[in-house]
Amino acid sequence: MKRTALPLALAFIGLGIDSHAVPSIAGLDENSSLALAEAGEALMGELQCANCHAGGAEYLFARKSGPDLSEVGQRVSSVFLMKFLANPSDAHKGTRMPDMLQALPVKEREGAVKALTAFLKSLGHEDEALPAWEVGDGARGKALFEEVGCLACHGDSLDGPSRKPVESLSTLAHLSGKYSASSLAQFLHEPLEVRKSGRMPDFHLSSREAADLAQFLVQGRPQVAKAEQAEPQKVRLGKRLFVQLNCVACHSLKDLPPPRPSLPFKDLRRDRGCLSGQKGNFPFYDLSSFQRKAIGECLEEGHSPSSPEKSVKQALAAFNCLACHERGGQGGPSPWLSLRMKSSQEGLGDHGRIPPSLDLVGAKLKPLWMRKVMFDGQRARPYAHTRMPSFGEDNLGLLPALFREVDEIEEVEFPEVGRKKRGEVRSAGHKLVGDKGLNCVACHLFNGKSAGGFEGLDLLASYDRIEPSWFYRFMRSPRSLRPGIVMPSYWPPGREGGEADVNASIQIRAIWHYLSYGQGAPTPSGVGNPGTNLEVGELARVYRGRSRIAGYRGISVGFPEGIHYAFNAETGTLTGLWKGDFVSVGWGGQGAGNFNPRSRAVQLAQDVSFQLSEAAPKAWPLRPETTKEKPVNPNPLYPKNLGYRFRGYSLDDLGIPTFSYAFGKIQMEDSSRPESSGDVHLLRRRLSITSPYAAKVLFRALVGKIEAGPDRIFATPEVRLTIPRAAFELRDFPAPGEGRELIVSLILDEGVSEFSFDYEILR
Amino acid sequence: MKSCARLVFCLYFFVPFARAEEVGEWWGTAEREREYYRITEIPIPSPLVIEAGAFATLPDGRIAIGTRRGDLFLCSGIDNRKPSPKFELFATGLDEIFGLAFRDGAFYVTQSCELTRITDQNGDGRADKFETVSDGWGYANYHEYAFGSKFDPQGNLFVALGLSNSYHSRALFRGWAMKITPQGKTIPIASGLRSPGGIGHNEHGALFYIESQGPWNSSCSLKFLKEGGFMGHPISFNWYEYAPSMGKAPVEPESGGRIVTEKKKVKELVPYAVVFPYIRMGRSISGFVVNRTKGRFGPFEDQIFIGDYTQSIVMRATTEKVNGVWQGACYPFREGFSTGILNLQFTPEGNLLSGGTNRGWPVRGGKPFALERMDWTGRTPFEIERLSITPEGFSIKFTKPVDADKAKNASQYKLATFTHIYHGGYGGPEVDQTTPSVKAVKVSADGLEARITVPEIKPGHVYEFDLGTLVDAKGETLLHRRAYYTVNEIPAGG
Repeated sequence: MKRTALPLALAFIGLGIDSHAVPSIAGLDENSSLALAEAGEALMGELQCANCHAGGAEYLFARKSGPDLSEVGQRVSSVFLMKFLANPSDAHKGTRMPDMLQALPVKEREGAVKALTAFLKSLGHEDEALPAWEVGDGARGKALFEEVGCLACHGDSLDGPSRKPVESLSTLAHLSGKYSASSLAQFLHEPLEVRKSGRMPDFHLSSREAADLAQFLVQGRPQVAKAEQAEPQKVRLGKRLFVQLNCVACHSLKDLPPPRPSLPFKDLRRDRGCLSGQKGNFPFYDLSSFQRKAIGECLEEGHSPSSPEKSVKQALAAFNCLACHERGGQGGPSPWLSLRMKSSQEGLGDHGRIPPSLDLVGAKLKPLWMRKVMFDGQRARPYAHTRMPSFGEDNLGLLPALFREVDEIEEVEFPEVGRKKRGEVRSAGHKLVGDKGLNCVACHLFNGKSAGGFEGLDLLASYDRIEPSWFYRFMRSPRSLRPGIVMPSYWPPGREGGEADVNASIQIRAIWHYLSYGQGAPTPSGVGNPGTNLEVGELARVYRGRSRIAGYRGISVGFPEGIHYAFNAETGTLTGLWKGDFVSVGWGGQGAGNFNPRSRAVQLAQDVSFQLSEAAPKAWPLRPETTKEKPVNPNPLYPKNLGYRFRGYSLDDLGIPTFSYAFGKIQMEDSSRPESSGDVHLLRRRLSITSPYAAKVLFRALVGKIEAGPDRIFATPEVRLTIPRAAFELRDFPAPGEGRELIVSLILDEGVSEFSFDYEILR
Repeated sequence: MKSCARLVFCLYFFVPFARAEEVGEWWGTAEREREYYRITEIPIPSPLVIEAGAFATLPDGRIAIGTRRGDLFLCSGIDNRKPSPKFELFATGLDEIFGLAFRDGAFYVTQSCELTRITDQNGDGRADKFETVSDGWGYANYHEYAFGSKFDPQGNLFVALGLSNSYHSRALFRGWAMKITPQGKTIPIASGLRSPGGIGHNEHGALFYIESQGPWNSSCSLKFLKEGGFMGHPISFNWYEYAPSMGKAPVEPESGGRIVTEKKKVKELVPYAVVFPYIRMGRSISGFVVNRTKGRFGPFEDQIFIGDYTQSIVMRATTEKVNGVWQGACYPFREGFSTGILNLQFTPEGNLLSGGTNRGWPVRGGKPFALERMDWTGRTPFEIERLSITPEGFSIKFTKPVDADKAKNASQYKLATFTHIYHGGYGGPEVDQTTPSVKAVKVSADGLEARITVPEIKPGHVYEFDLGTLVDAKGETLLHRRAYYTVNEIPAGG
């Protein structure tokens, strides 16, 4: 009950004395900054008068069409269509659609509504309902409604009368009767596809967000919207009426004849026809007295000469830009709306949450950037929850150039830095931006990275966004251009040409020069470039990359149990073990993803660790060494000449890898996993070796200061290794007294032989 | 300190605009370009980081994305008008992916360390088998990147291997290209590479790779990867003894000459096919792809599209074989991408997907990583469709009829030529400049082609065309006024 009464109540509050449901054109009311005739001109554009009345002056931003009806049958419920056609402004408060049927006697009128509805419901693909849309979450949708900017035009019309609505309200209460959650979601996802005039802009909602918002707006009482096939006769009649009533003037449809022109513009009078306020054989617009006055003024005075200033003002009014943005002392969010504009970087003050002022925006922003923001969804301030929506380049494509024409600031010269001096200037800028200079990074991101403080506008975007003259003037005195901004003045005002002034100009230009290198600009001091820690989840994790512990063809294997190992795939060797956290990875700068164990690891030998016994030389063949003096690998085929071939690995259901490699015709499957018995946590390595013949393979299992214990246990100070029952040799390596190597003889039968080795970390 | 600062100020020399020479400005055409080709950012849901290095299209229409961070994502819904695609992590933990091909249910992934065949054996949508197809090269420096191709019709894959630290060849076959046969045999096929940025087949099916500016390469270029060839940088000659099929190492080229003269002495030397004049046409050109969209990407069917890392731009190139040698032209196409482009891929709907990162090297685009889709709006820009060589000069084809009154006038064709010093120093100046005047023009009846005659064609020179005064029937100037043709050979007169 409350909900149905609400829209009417709000309409009264929002629109003051006008008791009828006038077309709601938010930016064009008594408070408009435009002269009356200019407002009238814009209103006529908004109401699409030119679609029937030719010969008016050029209003650059005129709406050329109403909603695209080619799939309306799929989108909108028939219940709503009937109500809407019968009385548009009653079914949808504030609609710009005139009543087309008001001149008909009641009986005929009902027939016309039914026929038109039948025709409209036949539009769209009957058999393919729109692709199913995911079901949204109304609570999340409510949050979006309040956050992203809907409130700027739609007030809080859905959320109870206790909160004061914005000045010019356009109600949404009709939505639940009009759309299904799914068809509304699709509309919200791409509004410009249906409403090409861009007055309902595209908020860059993801499909998920569109579903959430739709769910909230239909409030769980959605209509089923689906194209229907009514009696062909009725559809035909509706189609004929659609043409007769000249609906095609605003809703062009394929295969329908072109619209018929009505009286030319010069013959229009303020007290006649659509403007008479009377009902008659013309579309009925229930205009407010202001709207009527403004349009009348425009008709009588004629159009004022067009100028960029006027066009900018008209655009800002017609698209209701001023609901969020202030410009020239006009507009900006109402106190009610302002309180609802949030930011995830509260410390940045109001400028971090309220859409920026458009004062001098044409002198501030580079035109291409402005286009990207206006039409491509580019965002400089992702922390502000209010989004800049896209009104469509077809509708507002002229605006960036107009801003540029209108807005001027005094040009500041930016001398090009001679090639020889570039390094010096750049490094001066680099220093100034960092935490040892002006510490810009304390409040600004740099290439998406924070210095741990606020995460304000990314400094690196400055060069693409901002005109250098603006940059200079803003830096000299942020508050003179943006009153109230938290950005401090770094350079005290000084006598022009004085020492302070010269220093400021050198420093500001150095910063600009530094930022002009784009990402080539070295990261300023204070902005971290930490390694990325890889965490192990429920499954084992395999990560390949070069590493001190496993060579360039290194593979690290992490286990949820907190014991990890590294495998050198170039030599087929288990080369390291550690406990605790897994690895950190170098993905900053040029970092090619090298990994490092996150705790001190046991480093084992990295040489090839198996050899066929018959081919084995007396001394174990070691991998070739390169040094600074001799950097070229002297024996690049070392592992391959020993018969080793790496074949890859496979993962089991727990994500645990089994490495496959071969020595000649002998195939090895090598898999390690944690085992616990009591307090002992160890890594058990299983070798499954397939040989076409009986053979003996030597395994160099351990190198270092090895002590032999009982029960085939061998230990260095860092690791304890238990070997299977097999012959072994513990021999000096590399020279007597310095260390030893443990060579285990693995006797292979023809077919598969299995061996198991346990590694226990002793630290 | 103060006096020092003042000194800096005095040493500025004054011009009106602040420029970032080292990265290179854009052409300044983005605002006009967007009327014809729109760039749509593909949203990447947090916390995913997708630093695309290689792409492949699967038979079911999904796009596979291999990343610098070693992940392999499968992405569906990329072609939706307003994309919010799904990214499925198919494999992870690999080592910088710069090559991705798909065949018979398996991915062939070129990582720094090896070429790997990756499959999902249990059908749970995650990779579980990683088979080493080839590790027939050394890898001992982080800068030793490996770029992989798609399959050729015989089922071969090719890998281009960068030098050690981009200057040396310290590990096996650094600076070489390898062929990996369907049987898994790895065969070295060419030496002399420096710092490849992509490898694949050109619009005629010949194997090409991207070479970067640096020693022995004064500009970035597209080069024909000739089996048995030497691609210009002699530091990798030390591995010929490991490549018996390649014969003996070539004669070392002499630093400081010209490629046209050196190639007479060094018979294996393959000259660059298309030079991308430094800064004007990119600074680190990267992955390329041939447009086979059957017109869905507009008027440039069967042409090469190529990205640039530093400038975040996409360019076009065309190639032709003259007297058995490849050569061709490059053209500006679209600027204003958000990150450093590492690779490109046409989507099933005929849009051009680009991706990359901006970390590590200077990049114009400001995002640490991004995926962007470029769509043709259906409007045809007035562009130089292609340049080709004729016995007397050049043929210039346009995408729309040129206004013949202007186009008939030889003085409208501003030509400038240069060549590079072929030397071991880093990069190089443009030298031996000429400004030939066009002797005669013949415009075709349909206005789509102008054939110009020049007094002399200089082999080894890059011909820079500036057609800024030509207009189409509506009086519109070319979207991009310049294009660059690299001459190696001159066709015989007919």
